Amino acid sequence: MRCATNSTRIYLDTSAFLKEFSEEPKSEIIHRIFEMCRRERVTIVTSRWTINESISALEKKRRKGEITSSERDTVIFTLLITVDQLIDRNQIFATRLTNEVLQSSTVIITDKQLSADDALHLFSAIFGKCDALVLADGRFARLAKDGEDFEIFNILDENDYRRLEEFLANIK
Amino acid sequence: MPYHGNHKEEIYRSAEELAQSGKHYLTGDEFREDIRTLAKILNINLNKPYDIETARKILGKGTPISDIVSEMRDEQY
Repeated sequence: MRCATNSTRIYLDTSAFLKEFSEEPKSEIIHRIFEMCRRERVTIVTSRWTINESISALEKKRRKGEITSSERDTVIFTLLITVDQLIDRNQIFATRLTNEVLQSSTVIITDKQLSADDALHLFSAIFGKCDALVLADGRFARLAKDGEDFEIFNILDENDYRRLEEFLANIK
Repeated sequence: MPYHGNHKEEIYRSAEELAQSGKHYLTGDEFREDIRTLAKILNINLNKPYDIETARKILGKGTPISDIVSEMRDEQY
């Protein structure tokens, strides 16, 4: 399935995707990407795995005693309803976890020494024909960055953050 | 880190084939159904009003959520 619009396709891995639902360092630029998505200026692409990984991270935050079960559920509710609304606008796409996708991402694990999650995200960005992969994870960025045919921005890095700002500013 | 050997070409060719087949994306209807089923399983009512700022304040407490995702990956790495 291809995107119904011709807008710029931005892949968000879980570390970036979840920042839409948080006020924390560097989250503003993710809020901006979601806002551009609502205005149909960009299309968000992610893996279906991002939903599970997100819920796992929220549960881990609860186990750390930083949020309650009820607060975790409020965030999960907000995440699901946000995705549901973007689906209605045809502005978010998710890649499936098929055998073929998993097989191809396995090659990336050994080629780039990535974790299984990171390799799945990277391969999903490749076959999602994305213009950029945005993440907030230093090691993933360091191992993934070179050799791809699209931009990779680690928003925790000041230089990448500025480059992403310019990238977004140039989207018509 | 660049790809070892010739795997980049192989990976991009395989990605192109998967993209062309169209079977490896959830359609809008499938994704919507998936999200709504997940909400049911988690006992979450998607018809309630929501306020993203409330979620942002909750999640903004303590460890940044991106750091938690990185920690999870460190454990797997």
